[in-house]
Amino acid sequence: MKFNVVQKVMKVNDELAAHNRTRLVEADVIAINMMSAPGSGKTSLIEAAAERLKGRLALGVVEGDPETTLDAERISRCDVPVVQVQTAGGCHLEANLVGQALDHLPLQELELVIIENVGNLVCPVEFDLGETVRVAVVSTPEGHDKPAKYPKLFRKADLIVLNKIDLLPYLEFDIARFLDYLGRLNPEFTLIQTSCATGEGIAQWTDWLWDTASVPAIP
Amino acid sequence: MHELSLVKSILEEAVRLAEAEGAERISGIVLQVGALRQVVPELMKFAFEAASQGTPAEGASFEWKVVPALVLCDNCETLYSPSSWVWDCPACGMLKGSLQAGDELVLETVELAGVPAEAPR
Ligand SMILES: Nc1nc2c(ncn2[C@@H]2O[C@H](COP(=O)(O)OP(=O)(O)OP(=O)(O)O)[C@@H](O)[C@H]2O)c(=O)[nH]1
Ligand SMILES: [Mg+2]
Ligand SMILES: [Zn+2]
Repeated sequence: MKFNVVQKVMKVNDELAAHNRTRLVEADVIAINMMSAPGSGKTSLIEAAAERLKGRLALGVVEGDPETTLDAERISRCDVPVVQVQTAGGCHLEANLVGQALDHLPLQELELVIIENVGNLVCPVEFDLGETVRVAVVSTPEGHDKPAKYPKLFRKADLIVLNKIDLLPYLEFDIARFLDYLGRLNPEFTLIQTSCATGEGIAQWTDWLWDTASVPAIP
Repeated sequence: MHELSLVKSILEEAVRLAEAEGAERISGIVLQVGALRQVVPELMKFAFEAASQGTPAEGASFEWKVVPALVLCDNCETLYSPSSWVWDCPACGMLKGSLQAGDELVLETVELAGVPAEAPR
């Protein structure tokens, strides 16, 4: 006997994400879902922002990793409230894990929460966490072809950060082709080029965070 | 590799339905999978076979229908199926559009066996 169910497989995740979104809006907090391949420099970019935004913007961080509390330790050295989520090998964050993490952040005191997703260019894109905006980070050693190979992430990103530009002289990274790929995915893309090693572009990155956090949280 | 967590929700929903209907077992599952949904149905089938062991869904068939991608052009509202990762409108060349279909991940039907009202005498 066949039963028509016609129900989203991710219904539970979507509901929990909606719940997170409501909580964030009620607390007037903007949340950023930061996605990239492992090692592109997500934590380094958060550290750099934490330093520059100290005393100006109330930042909180959720760190997602398959194992360890290493990234949370790095962030807490910046005097920023942080919660480490360990996915026990899982390749992405889900809304329930983020919801639990938000329980441990002083949301009422915060203006911006950065959620560092598990390093992976495919899976995180599929799971709504309740974030306000999405940031995709790609670093120069990964190659200029990443937007074409992982179009879903880059098409959906509100901001793209090209990190490790200090390494450009040593790589065959073709920035014109990189820009061309991005433009074909989204003609109105926003790109910031950074180096956490030299500090280049970090001011633009923090300004973007500042501007984003200043917009009222509307669901 | 997030297929296993997806399969668990499918299994939960199917078992919930089977219990509600008083069915003996679950004999089949049909999904709709969008062409641009980043899941591998073959892996889901494999994960389903493993996860359903010892549940009422053990041995159930696991099938899926691929839903082709459809993009609506932001500029001229032409509906087209993109042929690559670039969404370029065949009518006006605009590179911006919104996805109308192709991102589905839907449990379409669950087939139950041994439902009391239906059980042969
Ligand atoms: N040369 C150079 N190295 C960088 C830059 N940004 C980060 N790194 C280095 O790249 C490595 C990875 O940086 P992380 O910030 O840990 O990267 P991540 O994206 O948080 O990594 P996961 O959380 O493991 O996915 C570290 O050794 C950093 O010091 C940069 O702009 N230039
Ligand atoms: Mg990190
Ligand atoms: Zn058009």
